[in-house]
Amino acid sequence: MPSEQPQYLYKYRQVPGIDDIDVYLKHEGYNAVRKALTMDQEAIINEVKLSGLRGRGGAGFPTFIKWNGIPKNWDKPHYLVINADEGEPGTAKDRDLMNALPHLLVEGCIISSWAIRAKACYIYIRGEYVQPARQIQKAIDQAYAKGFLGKNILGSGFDLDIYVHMGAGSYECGEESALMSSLMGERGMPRHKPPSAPLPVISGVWDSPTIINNVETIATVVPIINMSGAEYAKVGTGTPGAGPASRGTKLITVSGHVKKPGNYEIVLGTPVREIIYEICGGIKNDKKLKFFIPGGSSTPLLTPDFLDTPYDYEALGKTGSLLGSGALIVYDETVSVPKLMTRLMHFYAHESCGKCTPCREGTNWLVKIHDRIMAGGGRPEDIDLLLDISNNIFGRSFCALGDAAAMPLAGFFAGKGAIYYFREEYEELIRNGAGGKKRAFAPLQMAGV
Amino acid sequence: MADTATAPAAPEQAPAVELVSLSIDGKKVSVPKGTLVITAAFEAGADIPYFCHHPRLKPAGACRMCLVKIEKMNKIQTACTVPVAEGMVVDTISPEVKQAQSGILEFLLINHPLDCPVCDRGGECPLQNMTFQYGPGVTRFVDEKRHFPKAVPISEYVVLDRERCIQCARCTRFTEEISGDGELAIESRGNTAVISPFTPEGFKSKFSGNTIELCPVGALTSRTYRFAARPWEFQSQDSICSMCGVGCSIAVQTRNGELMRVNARLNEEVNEEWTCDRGKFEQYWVNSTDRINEPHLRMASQLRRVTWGQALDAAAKTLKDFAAVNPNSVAGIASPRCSNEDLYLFQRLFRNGLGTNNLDHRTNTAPYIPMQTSIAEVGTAKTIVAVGAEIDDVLPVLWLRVYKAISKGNANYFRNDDVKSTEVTDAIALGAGTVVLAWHNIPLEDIEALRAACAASGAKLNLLLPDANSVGAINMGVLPDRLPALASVSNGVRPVYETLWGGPLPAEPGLDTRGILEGCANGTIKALYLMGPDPLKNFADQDLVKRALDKVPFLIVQDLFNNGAGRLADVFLPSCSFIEKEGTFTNIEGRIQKFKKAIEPRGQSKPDWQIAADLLVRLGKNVPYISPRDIAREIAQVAAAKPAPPVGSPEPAPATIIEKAS
Repeated sequence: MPSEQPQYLYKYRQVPGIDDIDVYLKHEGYNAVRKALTMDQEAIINEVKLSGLRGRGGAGFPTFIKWNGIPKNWDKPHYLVINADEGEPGTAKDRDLMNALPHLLVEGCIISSWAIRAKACYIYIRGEYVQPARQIQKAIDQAYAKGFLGKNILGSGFDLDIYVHMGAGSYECGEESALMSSLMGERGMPRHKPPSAPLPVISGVWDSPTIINNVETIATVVPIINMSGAEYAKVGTGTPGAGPASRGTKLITVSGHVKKPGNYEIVLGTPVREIIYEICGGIKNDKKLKFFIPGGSSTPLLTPDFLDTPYDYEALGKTGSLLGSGALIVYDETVSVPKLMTRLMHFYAHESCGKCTPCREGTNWLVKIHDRIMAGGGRPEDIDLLLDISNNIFGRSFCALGDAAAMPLAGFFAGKGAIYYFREEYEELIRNGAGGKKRAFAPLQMAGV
Repeated sequence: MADTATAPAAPEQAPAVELVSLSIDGKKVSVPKGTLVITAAFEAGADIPYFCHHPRLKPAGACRMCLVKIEKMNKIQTACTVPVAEGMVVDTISPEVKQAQSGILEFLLINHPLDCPVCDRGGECPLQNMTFQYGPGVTRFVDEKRHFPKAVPISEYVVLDRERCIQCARCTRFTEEISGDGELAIESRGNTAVISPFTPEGFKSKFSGNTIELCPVGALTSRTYRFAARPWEFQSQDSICSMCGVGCSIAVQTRNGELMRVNARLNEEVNEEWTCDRGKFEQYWVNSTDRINEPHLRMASQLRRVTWGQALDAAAKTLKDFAAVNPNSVAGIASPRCSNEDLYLFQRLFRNGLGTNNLDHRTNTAPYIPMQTSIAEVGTAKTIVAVGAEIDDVLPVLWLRVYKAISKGNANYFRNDDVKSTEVTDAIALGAGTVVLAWHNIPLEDIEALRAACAASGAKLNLLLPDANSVGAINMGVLPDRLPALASVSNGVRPVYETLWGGPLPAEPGLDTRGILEGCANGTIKALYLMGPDPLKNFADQDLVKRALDKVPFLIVQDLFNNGAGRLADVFLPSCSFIEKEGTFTNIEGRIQKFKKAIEPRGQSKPDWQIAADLLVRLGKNVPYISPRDIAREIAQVAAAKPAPPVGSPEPAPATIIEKAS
């Protein structure tokens, strides 16, 4: 359903055949490229700055700061890498964008590459996204045919090649440094970050300056150039240029127990209540809302008390959760929190790359305890043990995957997570077992250490 | 590390190094820019536990054990990955840091099996030590541990236990960064990740043994040392590997007179801290029950066991009798795997005792050209050309320097045996940054061509000799035309030696190896004395060897084993291995290194020098030697007496040997 919200990315989402370049060209297609190629790099980055655009992948880092980090006089090639390894459970916004509007991403890539003086752009698409990869490849081929890619684009003297690279099915490869390793043909494990190593913007893929951005971030550059950054920044929360602000629109994926799940473009700052009850039509079968996860499975869940929170980076941050990748997952009263957490812990343990100890061992331990609790073998001390394990993982793992596993359960530093809000469900399970079947827990016979 | 930390004068001495000051647990230290926090902390005397960190490997940050708090950084950091910065304030002892470290150790232990009592690493295991020092007293883990099949052999020498592995990736990083073969990799991911040989053929590295020493747990253990001993049971003695000319520092670990294990010892100039598999695993011949430990004498065409007195008397009398008729009817060939002291007395026996220069140790006629770079300098070369052999086959640990130049210095390395090819000549023409590593048995004209080309361009030529003491044998004068310290037998230096040893010395150059063998075959040589482990094994013309040994009327063989020439011996004198004696080896770069006695000689066997001394006594010479040190002292005296140039002092210090033997 078209919402009342301004639609910048989804403006022509409903136009039949918009994934074809001829249709796309009739709907302002590649206007932004034509415009951008007449602007110099600083002007483009300035528009992005005025727009207040922040990384849409999850971290919310201001895009123009990243782009400004590209060395000005550098003898090495620059690269633009698009993170299309959308793996966060509950997130499907990039899939939809690439399927429905592939030219929007291609156009964004051309403008962004021009802005950072990259002559090669890689789109790293997760292996499961076969159809989006086909769509993107088709769009790239069409763009080459029309002269928007290749040598001397539109007579500007700018050369650009875009390559599609498929991942092999690893959540970890959505982490930008692991993505770079994977892109270079190495094992998909994270690389050192500051203060241990320079940022990708200095030394990324092939030891060259590299900008890595999410699909949506790059696609958003197109409306920003078309309508100007200031115009884009007219909606949203916070004041542009005065501290952290959430300007513009955001693609969100709403899933779970709502009447109309799907991808929506909303203005940042729309209250969660409006998203769930108006845009998505309320809870399925008119049951009661039990809790919701605001930004993908890695972000701590929130109870209905937080329904009036504006959906933006700052307000969600204040609740102890995160906006993350914009995946709003809604759960009704029938959901068992320990069961959900068991499923999530299995996911993180399965996706841990195994490089660092806390993530490799910790996530697995969380799984084992959850499995045991679910099988009716829980012990009262397991709940605090879960919190303590989460605390030992959080902030100590090599990359954010460990944090992501610890957060839904324990929040930040064993703060407000699933156990904080729904501890009694764990206690009930431990007391009475799953389905009322309590099994005697026999600890393994083992010595002290 | 500790040494540099206590040297406050360092800034004045090295102004080129930019220093960074930081505070670690309130203690101020200044370290060179780029130093890792963990290294700086050790210099400040702090104690940080770690597993994956290794100073010779690139930072991994994998085990997360070395967590420390650094002011102004919101997250706790791994000390092994963060470089120091000016004004940094590091905390390694606060309860927060200790809690974090203890949490990591608990994670490492949850899946680690409790088989320390039967683990070969037990007693010298970093994980065991760290657990005692930092770990929680009891486990909170009550679920089932991870299981894998135990004790999987992954190569001829290494056995893998994946249950014990803590995924520090030291072994995989070693194969990628140090040995360059990339033979180990991590397979699968997360909790199921395991170390695995990269190919189904197994862990084929020539340096696989190092991973055993690098492994901070008992995941990679030695097959030769498996369940053989506990580390607290044996004695460890400093030694030098006798398997090739590199001369790696090793620790020989023995129990009850038997070799249990060989480990690497630190020597920055030679092997850093590595060994090759040959040096680490193929030393067990010293334990062999096939060794002949009693003197034998041929009586009625049968070798019979006799006393030392009988054997030595027979040998000395026969040698003396032949030499009395014609000194040049006796000859000796020594193995370049004997020590300097052995070889020195051997040549004295022939020159001073029997009056002949018919002695040699070489199996080919390559000239002696001292190495023009040190072993360590090979690691900084810009272009490296191997001629005649694969370096990792012939001198494995030298290959590690070559790979260091390739991986750290981006050096260009290739092997090309055709010295006239443009690839080789172009590389040599590049000048001083080029190092040519030529194997000693390439044709003489190739050596000459390389020498001329390198001299013209300034490229460095390293003619590589094969054996543990090849250079020492040259220096000790086990050559037909050279006295010790490379003095010519014919020129005016000879009287110095005549005074020292008492008695005239022959002035005519003698026969070389081929000449001696031909002499044996055609009957001019009546008695041949072979000293050391099978000195003729590598001689190209084995047919000539066979004819010579069959023909020569009297053959003395001094060896550990009754193989090769030993079967034909008239007198067999049992010598002992290098771990049963003391002495010095001179490695390919001319470095004289001392090895110590780890165990007593087996059975009745004796060190080679002692046998030579016993024979000298029977030839009526004054031999005032009680230990090899006395001989070493005399060698130093000889070297000093010879006007110039001197041979290095027989201490384990760098020595330069100049002048070549033709």
